[in-house]
Amino acid sequence: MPILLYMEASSLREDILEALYKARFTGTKQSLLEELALTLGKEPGELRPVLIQLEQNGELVFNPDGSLSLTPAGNETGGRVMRKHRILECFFSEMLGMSPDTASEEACTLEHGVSDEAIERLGRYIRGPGRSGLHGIRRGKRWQALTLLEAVEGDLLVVSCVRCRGLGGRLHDLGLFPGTEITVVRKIPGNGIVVRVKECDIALSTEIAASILVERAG
Amino acid sequence: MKVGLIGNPNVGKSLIFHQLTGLGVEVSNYPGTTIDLQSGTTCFQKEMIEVTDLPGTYSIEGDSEEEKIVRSFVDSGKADVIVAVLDAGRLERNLYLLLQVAEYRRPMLVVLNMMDEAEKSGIRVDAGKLSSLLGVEVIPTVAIQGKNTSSIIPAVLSSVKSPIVNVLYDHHIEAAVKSLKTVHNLEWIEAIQALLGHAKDPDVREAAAALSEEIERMHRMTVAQIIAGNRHHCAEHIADEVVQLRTPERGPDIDRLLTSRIPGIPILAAILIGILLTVFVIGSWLEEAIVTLINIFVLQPFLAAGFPPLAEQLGVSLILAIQAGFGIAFPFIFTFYLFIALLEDSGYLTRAAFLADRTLHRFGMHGQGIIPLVLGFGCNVPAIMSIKLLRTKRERLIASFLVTLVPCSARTVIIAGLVAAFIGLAAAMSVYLFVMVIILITGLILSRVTPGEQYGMILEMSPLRRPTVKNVLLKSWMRIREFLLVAMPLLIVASIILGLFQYSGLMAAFEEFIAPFSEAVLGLPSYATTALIFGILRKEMALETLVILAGTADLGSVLTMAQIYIFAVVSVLFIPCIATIAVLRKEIGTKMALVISAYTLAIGLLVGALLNMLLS
Ligand SMILES: Nc1nc2c(ncn2[C@@H]2O[C@H](COP(=O)(O)OP(=O)(O)O)[C@@H](O)[C@H]2O)c(=O)[nH]1
Ligand SMILES: [Mg+2]
Repeated sequence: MPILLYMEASSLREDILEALYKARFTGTKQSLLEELALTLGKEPGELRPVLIQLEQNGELVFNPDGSLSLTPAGNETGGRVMRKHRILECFFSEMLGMSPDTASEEACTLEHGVSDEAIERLGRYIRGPGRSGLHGIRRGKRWQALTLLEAVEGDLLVVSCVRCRGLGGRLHDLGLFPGTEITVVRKIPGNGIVVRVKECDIALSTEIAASILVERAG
Repeated sequence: MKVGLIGNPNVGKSLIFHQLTGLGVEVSNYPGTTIDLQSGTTCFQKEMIEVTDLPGTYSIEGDSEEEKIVRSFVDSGKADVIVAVLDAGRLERNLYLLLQVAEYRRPMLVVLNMMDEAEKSGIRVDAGKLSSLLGVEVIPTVAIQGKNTSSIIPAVLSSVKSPIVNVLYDHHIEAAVKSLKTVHNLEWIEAIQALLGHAKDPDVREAAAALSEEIERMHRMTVAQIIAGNRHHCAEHIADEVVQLRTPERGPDIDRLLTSRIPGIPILAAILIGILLTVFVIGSWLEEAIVTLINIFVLQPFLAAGFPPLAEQLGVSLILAIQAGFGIAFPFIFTFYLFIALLEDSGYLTRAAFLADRTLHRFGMHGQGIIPLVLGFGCNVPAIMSIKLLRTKRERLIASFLVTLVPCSARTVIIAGLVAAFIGLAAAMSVYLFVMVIILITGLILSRVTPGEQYGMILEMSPLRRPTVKNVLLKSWMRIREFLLVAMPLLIVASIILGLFQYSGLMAAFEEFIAPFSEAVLGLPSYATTALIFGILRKEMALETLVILAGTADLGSVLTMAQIYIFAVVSVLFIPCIATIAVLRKEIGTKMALVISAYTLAIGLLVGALLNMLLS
């Protein structure tokens, strides 16, 4: 069983980095150990050894006030795991027609095992011919999807997937549709984002921005 | 002859409706303000034309309330002519809706509004070319200057045509439409609507569902998505043909100032606090004037006339009700409405909603919840009316709870007139703080326990515009009229009932009954409890009644500071005024209105009792 145990520990590590990464963008406070444990549904005691290990790896630091913050390396991993999660989720719900909740659960487990290459190919497949239509990104270029949450002010982006419970239809009507070019007009970290879509400025809450997958144009 | 105005939110439909019919409707620089259908008539060359202003939507295929209204309006053929209003500066997005409407092949006319704004942002639209692509007449207008709107009605009478524009649909969709058409003998539009799941006939619906499933399997996208994609594509194509972009004239980027964290949030706070203070100062001054005038010129002559006691009691109740209505409506609410109208029409309100989004999430709402909450400081009644802007029932429920607790201007009068005057400014501020803490806690709890889903905010930002004096005044006037219509009858009824209570001696009996409780729990003399009950009519009437019942305006001589403080806190918290209860009932139903009233009653008494234990 040591392999399984190892895997479990490593996926917990990734979950922690993902949660801290997300917290940074949504502005929700999760930087304290107890809050983190609550989000992940674990006991603080379970997390502590893993956190210490992460600190030794140089992926996170304990601040003097007891809060946790990610190092650049930790950020990188956290972001990668979150993107994997979103792409898998998108694939399961949009392509395979699974319910959003199941899709999210499946993505939660698979995000730790899947390789970067597989994710990149899956992303290409989602975006595939006929889906993004007009503004395909030039071939051969490294494809990198990100959620709208991670975009920064001034970014020129192309929507690749909108996966939003209940309100997806409204987003489509406003033109947030796979293939549409958008620009980030304003972003207040933790407080949503304003994007310009077809000459109109649309304000979106963070949780909605998090469910929109985009790629950088150009 | 019937004409319907259709278009995206905030493109000028209501303004055009107003110019065509002369009827007052709400024109707002805020998306989603028109919710009900509004009809009016106009005459042209002896022809009677009925115009209907429809709610603004981005699409008519969805299942939100507005979309259903508009879809059934178009589908039923109720209108002889459909006038589609487009925003020239946002043509592509507007065309997406137009294409959906055009598929019904009803006689149509396109109004290309906001030509002035488009021009300013360097967008030039070729109306002739657009007309030939769509197959209907296109009239460019600038509604705000009244430019060219007068040619809409003549065109409606002489030159409407069915559109000819066709969306190029995916061939699987076309095939499915064809098969539905032949098998079920449907019109083209019925077939495509059936694919989108809108068929009325169960057989057709089933057949369409089977076909849709097949297509979805092949495309890995829902039919609705494919169709939306094709329409977007078509809209983009048309816009590319007719729109010419030039470099826009650039001014200073005010928008950046308003929507960045710094200085955006300090500006928001300054604006809100400034409005509250101004309304409070102007309001208290005006209110005193109105109440005094009514006292001198109506109440005293009436009392001097010497009617029989019952008639006198009824008359006094009626005058008190009217005094309450006008005393609160014009000084506080109207002044407040003026400011809100300014915020709305300048486009600032959408920016405020954006800035407040995060904070309001903690209370289970989103940015748009800022509108009812801010309105609540003026008066709870219009605030409750505005919760319609929130989309889900959960948000509306939370908002109505919180709004009811927000200290409105009438409650501010109590805090100022009682606590600030007899105890001190710091104590008055502490009452505010108290209420805010209770609102915060209530919000935090409600956001955990209220059932229902929480979606985030998707809000189109209104362009920044210069508000016109006329529209601000007109809109505030219409709103205050609506308030008076809702609140006045209730005030009168409630006031007369209270009057009869007093007359029949029931009030005295009640006072006797309540006395032990009042003294033991709240530490207040029984007449203070009576005064509290009068506060249900109009909150600051609690203060006025207290002065009358105490027999002196120098309340400090008959009540201890603790009693004054408790009285103020309880009257601020407990039971919303009768007008608020009435709109609560209208907006969220009798049951929830009662629950909210009971909650505020419980909180008021609880806090009162706790304070009594602490202070005495
Ligand atoms: N600059 C400009 N503003 C306009 C024009 N037409 C309407 N407006 C403004 O646009 C806003 C929205 O108008 P309204 O009639 O409420 O739009 P509706 O939501 O479509 O009913 C209001 O502030 C109007 O004053 C126009 O032609 N030019
Ligand atoms: Mg309107």
